[in-house]
Amino acid sequence: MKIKTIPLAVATLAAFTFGIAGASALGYWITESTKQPAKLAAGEFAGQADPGDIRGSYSFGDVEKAFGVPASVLAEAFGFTDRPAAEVKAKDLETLYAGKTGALEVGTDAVRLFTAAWIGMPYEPEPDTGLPARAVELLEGRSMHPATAALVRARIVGSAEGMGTLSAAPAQPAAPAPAAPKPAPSAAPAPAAPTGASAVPAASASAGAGTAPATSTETHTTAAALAREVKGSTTFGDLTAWGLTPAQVQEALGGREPGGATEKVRDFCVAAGVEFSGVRAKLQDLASGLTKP
Amino acid sequence: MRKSKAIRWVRRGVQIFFFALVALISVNHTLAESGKAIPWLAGASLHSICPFGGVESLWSAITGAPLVKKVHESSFVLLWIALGLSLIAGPVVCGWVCPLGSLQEWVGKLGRRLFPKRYNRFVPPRLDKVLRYLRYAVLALVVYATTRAGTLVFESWDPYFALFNFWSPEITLSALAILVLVLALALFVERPFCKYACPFGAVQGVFNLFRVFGIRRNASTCIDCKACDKACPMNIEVSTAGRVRDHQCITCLECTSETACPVANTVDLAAFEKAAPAAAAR
Repeated sequence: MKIKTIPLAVATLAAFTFGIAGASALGYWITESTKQPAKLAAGEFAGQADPGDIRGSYSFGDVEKAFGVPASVLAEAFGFTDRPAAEVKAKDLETLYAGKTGALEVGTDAVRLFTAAWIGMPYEPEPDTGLPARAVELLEGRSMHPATAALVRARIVGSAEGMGTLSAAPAQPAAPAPAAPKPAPSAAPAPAAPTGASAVPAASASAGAGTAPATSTETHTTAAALAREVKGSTTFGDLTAWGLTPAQVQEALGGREPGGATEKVRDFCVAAGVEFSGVRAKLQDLASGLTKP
Repeated sequence: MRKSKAIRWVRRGVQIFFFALVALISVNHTLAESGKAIPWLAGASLHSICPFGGVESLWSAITGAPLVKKVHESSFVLLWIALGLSLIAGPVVCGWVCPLGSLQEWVGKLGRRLFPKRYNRFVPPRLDKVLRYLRYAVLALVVYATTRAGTLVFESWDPYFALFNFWSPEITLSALAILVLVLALALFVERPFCKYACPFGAVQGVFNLFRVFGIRRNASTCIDCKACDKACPMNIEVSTAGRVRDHQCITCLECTSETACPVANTVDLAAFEKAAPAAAAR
């Protein structure tokens, strides 16, 4: 038995056509994220959807479906009024808040933190994640997990006066979190603090920590720079000082020429239409791989 | 002669179709970011229509872990289709469907004009033979690294991703550089990436060892003109084989009596139910 060219061509096209059609009929032809976050495998909240798995591509509508936080509440919390609440994507926050929140960042991780706080789960945000004042106001009436409550109050940005600084929230003891949904985001341990500097643990907000995260923007930034944490305030000059080569930075930027030494990477990404969180992750990988001084 | 030319256009037509389809899906995905996507193409990304994503995420699927980021169930569907075709007729996806393979082949046509005698013979045979196994090392490395990281670590080096995303901010310089290198090498060697580096080609190549239909040479009618050897893009010596079991065959049918072989019913894609009388299997 032989197969000639034309029958093989037909068979190839048919295999793909009917294969895909069959998979579609069975509901197995899925080409996009189902926006169903992973479930926590262990701890007090085992089996519940993990707020830490919210991605930048999740819309507020997706978050509502997965976690029950109303899209309208999310839109109000993060100040989106220009489009239907359910259509706002978590990554849109980066653009809205670019350059307006100083040392803190309001991005996808802020949605994770807000969501966790809203549903009463503990969540360990990235060290520089902040929440707008309105978001914190909305959360005040909720029964938050103690660890998350302490974090939320310590991460306020966006008030007319206070934008760009960490709120000096009093230290508040927090109950140990039974199950932290997300491992500590800081890949590199913070180095020993220089004499005289009040070093702040990069992930002081970690579940179980009983202290407020920081007392001033300057201290926070210094500690982050020493720990080589890529943040919204990180400049291209910082990256060079850490030892990253221009070629490495360029690659992380998707081949774009890096900006000037004083230019913030986040501002550069916003101007270039690149998702900062992705670039930050690449740069953080590179920075974490560097030998500490 | 005219018939063989027309027959060659059948495969070329299928290649062009899949190249255009993948390009359209990739462009559409970029447009979707700005809300301008073509609705009937849905929001499929390049990753979601790449069967190799299924290989990269296979361990996650087996262990019940979440799939590797950016890989979706559709990758598994395409993987099973590709492997099904491979089981029946060898790596048909390599020879007929893969857009990167097709592009290398088209660039190679220019190479054939530039170096009519030496084209596809630049690499010394002994070195070439060793290099052919490199793609298995690439496969092992990519699967291991991807499984460990849970993300598509190969993306930063993937010429296929670069080919259909060179306009996107997601693209890395390393991937673009490899794409350019591959296309430059294609001027000297036919399908260099397929031969030496493609991890998915490595997976499918294994099926050449036990596929149902394979390239079979009828020694009793063969006139030993070696036209089949010259036509083979993967440098397989069809003229010395009874049946081709070479792990690099891509089922392009360029060697068969429909195209290169001048004698009817001498080199065919046929079921391996009966051992060919002449030479031993390769």
